[in-house]
Amino acid sequence: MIRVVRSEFIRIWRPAFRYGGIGVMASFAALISVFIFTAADSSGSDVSGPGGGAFANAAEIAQPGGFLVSLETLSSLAGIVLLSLWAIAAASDYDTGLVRVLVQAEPNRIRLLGGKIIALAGYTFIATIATVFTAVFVARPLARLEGIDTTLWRTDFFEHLVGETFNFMVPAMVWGLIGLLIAVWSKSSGLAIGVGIGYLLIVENLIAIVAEGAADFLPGGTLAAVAAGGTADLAWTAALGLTVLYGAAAAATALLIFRSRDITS
Amino acid sequence: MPAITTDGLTRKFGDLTAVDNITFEVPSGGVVGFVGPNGSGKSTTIRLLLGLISATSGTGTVLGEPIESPERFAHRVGALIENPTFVGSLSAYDNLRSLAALRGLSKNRIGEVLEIVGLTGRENDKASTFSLGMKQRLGIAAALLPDPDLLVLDEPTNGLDPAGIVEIRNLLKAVAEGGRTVLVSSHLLGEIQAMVDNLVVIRFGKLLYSGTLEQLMTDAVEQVVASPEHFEDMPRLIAAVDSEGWSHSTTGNELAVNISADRSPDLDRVAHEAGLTLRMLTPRQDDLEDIFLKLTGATDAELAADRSGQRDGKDRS
Repeated sequence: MIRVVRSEFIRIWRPAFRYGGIGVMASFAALISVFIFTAADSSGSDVSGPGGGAFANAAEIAQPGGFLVSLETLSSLAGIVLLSLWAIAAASDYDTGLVRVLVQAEPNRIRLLGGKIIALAGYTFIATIATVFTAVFVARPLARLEGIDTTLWRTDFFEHLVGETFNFMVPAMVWGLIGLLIAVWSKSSGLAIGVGIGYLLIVENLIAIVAEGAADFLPGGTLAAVAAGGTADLAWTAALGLTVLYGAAAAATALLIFRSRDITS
Repeated sequence: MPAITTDGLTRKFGDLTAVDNITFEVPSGGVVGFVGPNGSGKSTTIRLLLGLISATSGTGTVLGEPIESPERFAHRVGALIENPTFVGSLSAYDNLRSLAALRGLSKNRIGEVLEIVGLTGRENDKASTFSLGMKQRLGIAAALLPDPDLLVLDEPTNGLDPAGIVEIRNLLKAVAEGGRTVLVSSHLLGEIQAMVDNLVVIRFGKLLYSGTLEQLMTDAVEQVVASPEHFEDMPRLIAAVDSEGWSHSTTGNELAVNISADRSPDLDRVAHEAGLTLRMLTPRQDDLEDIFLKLTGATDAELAADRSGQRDGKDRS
């Protein structure tokens, strides 16, 4: 398995992923941080965020852990980026025909895709750490610029850092797994990205309109709940459990499909 | 032990039988040609042998191991399957490093195979900048990585210039001289004739011939082609040839007489005795292309027309 992971990581660590993927996520982290900090009204009024949610106000940002306030909003965007990257990594092997070479060299397909999943998880770990680092790096100058008091940020700094990073990273991994599943099924990165983003942005919102309660338990709502540290409708532990379940189901289904899939057409 | 055996190997795609009850044996060592018209099932057979797809029925072995268990022979087999495929944004070296890592091979091997295929000095160039010929070389380098006992190459000279074709031919011969078996699928019959010791010929998924090239070429017809100085003398030349009991055929103002090349003087003498002067006297022997056309019985265009009724939309070449 180590051989497969090493092999996959060499291919994943190509410029498009190294600079493009991580660069886009880090740029989003900086941009969203700028937007949240500049939009935070010191009088305490909320500004609407994507999906009808609200960005934190200055008082909330000043609370312990406020330096990572942008991660919750960033989570969905990072999810889209990582879904796309995982889908590209999986489907490009079909697009180029490289999958035939890989299966000839390593006929154990479970090991082959399992190694790819581990390598992509490693990439996602690096990408999310870089994103969190960017968010932390820009937080203090932005707070100073907007006159937000950061004294409380020192309180439980590392606990907040580790906790928020975990809440950001786990949904990112599961978005990636969902992208991989659709790519293995469709053998097309374009289709996988289209279906994934279409589901997240359109289908779940439509379901939310029709059946409000159900939406909290669907992948988009559940993963967002983990990133938010839990919501009023879905506690963090329940959200995390569901997220892990979605991730495991996506990985298992992708492995089953890949094991029996015709890779030659 | 044979490098490859098949016994009644069959693969169907819906109603189309791409590989139809094929039984052949490829001996160990040497270069083996795998030829057939377009759509004859060559690539499907190669995919079956490499374990990329499963057989509908029949069995086979590669290096003594059943094709149903490719994990038993994958480490001893290198393959270039259809077009060479790489990550374009990675260098040639990194592409090979990735495949070497997958096989658990040392980085030193990368330099060795790059040298073998003549890409030393270009290893840091992105694969996307390579010409088709260079990609073919890189594909062969990838196939050589595991220092394989069996090398399977599907159209390895595609896109190569004449000098490149000769280089690859010599390379494959050298690889085979080391005791390895090289199975080469190609439609360039002149190339196949120049490099192979054994040959497998298929058509419509059925085996037409399996054996040595030498044996196949014993069926090659030798002829001496003659043409009289004046076209109106052709009937007299035919009569003279008939009087010797030689069989013949006529194409335009040329008479092809079925006698060996060393009997050309006899034909010249017969014509002279009949009072005829020959404008042309040329010995000719069937090459592999002629034999191939006789075996397959048609050109690609005729085959395609013949096959159109049987296809269900699947490409099985």
